[in-house]
Amino acid sequence: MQRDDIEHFSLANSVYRHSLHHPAQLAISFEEHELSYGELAAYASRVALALTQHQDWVRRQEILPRVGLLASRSIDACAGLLGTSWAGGTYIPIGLKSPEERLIAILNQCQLSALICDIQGAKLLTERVLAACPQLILTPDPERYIPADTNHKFAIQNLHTLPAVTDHGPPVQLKGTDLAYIIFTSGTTGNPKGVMISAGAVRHYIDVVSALLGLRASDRSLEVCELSFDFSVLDMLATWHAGASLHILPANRVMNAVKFARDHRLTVWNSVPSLIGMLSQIKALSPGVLPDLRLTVFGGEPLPQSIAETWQQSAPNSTVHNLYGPTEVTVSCLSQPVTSPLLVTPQRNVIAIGKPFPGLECSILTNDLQVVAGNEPGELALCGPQLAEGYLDAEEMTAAKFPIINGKRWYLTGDRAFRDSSGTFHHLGRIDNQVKVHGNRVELEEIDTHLRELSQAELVATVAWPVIDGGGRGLIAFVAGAIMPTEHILAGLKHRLPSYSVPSKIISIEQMPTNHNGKVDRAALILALENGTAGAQVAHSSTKGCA
Amino acid sequence: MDNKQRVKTFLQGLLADYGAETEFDDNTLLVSSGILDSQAVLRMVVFLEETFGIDLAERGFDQDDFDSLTNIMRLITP
Repeated sequence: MQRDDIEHFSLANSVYRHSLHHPAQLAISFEEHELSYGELAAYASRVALALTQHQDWVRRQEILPRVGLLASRSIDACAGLLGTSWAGGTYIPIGLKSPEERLIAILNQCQLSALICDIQGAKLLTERVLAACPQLILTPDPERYIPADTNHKFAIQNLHTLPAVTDHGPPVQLKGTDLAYIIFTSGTTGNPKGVMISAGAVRHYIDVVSALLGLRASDRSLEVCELSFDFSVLDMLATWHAGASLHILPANRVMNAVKFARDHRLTVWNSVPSLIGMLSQIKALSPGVLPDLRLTVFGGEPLPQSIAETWQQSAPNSTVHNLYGPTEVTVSCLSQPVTSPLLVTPQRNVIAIGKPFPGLECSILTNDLQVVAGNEPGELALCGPQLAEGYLDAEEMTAAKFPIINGKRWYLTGDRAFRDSSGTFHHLGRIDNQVKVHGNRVELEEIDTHLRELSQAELVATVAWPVIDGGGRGLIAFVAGAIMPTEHILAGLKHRLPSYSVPSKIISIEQMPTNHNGKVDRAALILALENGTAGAQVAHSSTKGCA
Repeated sequence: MDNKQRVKTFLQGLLADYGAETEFDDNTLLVSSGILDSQAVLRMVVFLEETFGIDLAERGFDQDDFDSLTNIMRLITP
């Protein structure tokens, strides 16, 4: 089947469908606000109308109009996403943790037709950011956030008072190859990479993951992800596909996740495993504390055995799934049921990543892209309808990461893995220098690129440390022979990188350890940290990112 | 030093680590306002356990209990 033959699709279809048949059913809840499917569809269609009425809403050949979502997790953000899809556009979430420089770089790269903000996003509209914004801006309370002397350059509409749409029609349907969204992830070169995901990929994903998880209309799901983290695609679309309700926990309340789940009688929990580690540390978990949960979905980073066990005690009535997948293969593409006895990856004490979704192929490759013999470890590669179209404006990188092998297009994940004799896949870490810190994907080489520029040192290196249960809890940077003071370097990093990528410490050392290839020996740096022998001049960071 | 002053001194240390203003009043919201984050709350939990023997597993964790000096003092002297 040609991908273009895939039936036409919109991310907003399920919300539209439920608005016709169950308009009063709860769709979304955030702080004191609740919207039914009827109300959410009405809100999304108002956004769609405001977008399509503007002169910049044009399709340029094969490129759909693009809408930036400068927003946290909120009803406004979800309505912006649905409205964009409803109008037949591509949504691009822009993380609020990004510093001004990165915001501007993304805005300039994306050639947006419009920008939609929620209140958290609107606060970031400085004069410099505004200068890179498209003409059409939809935001709550524009008088408060957009300076009067600049607003004449823009077509600004108040997101909360958009004109009502009488008798809105169904969402515009995209072709299978049209882009549903672009999500930016950390890139090794120092610039973020825009991963382009098609409508056909999302449709396949939602169909198979819904069948796997079996959500029901009576379910009440937790949302703790930012839109810029693609796990949110699962939370939102699987919930609405089932006609269930999404309950958003704001970023500054995340430590109250257990209380929130109890108070809102949630039945579905979606999060990265490191959130459970943190909740356990603050003593929020105890045996049987979440009796109403019937389904748990973990993803985004390895699931440590200890966390799986803690969770089985805390939520004794919940089925648990461990999902694996890179952003480049549409959120997740392998799954492992977490049942006793736990299927644990030897030596790593993490749960296996399981078997590929229906319709996807998974293979373990050698360095020269041959399939390994038997159960040998190698690079995990994926093939099938969920593969991204590639990276925005980066054809070379796209060709390198999505090679054609024996006539089929594959994605090379950069993850080391092996397949055991039962056909189950096991994750063994990264083959490159990508790490997960509190669930955020971080390319150490990206940090190093900026470190090198700011420090004017010859040798620099960043490591994830400490690593607890297989996940990074922080970052430490090393510079050897730096010309600039460490405080200056740290201040510079804060301007250039999202807060979760800024090292908590920069350690100035005389000589950088290197391995036999002359490459910086990150393992030796980690060992020095473990032994407490690293360290001379140190600058501490005060902003620490967390889930 | 009385209990309240001990807690206040501890919080001032935390705020200094976060590069934030260390002067605050009893009802200043320190967490929901975004001044302090989850890692800071974790340090508060450990501090209260070690200094005052507060057992959170028993009473259930609520982030609001850590949001201001007034609220924290209620944990110590209910």
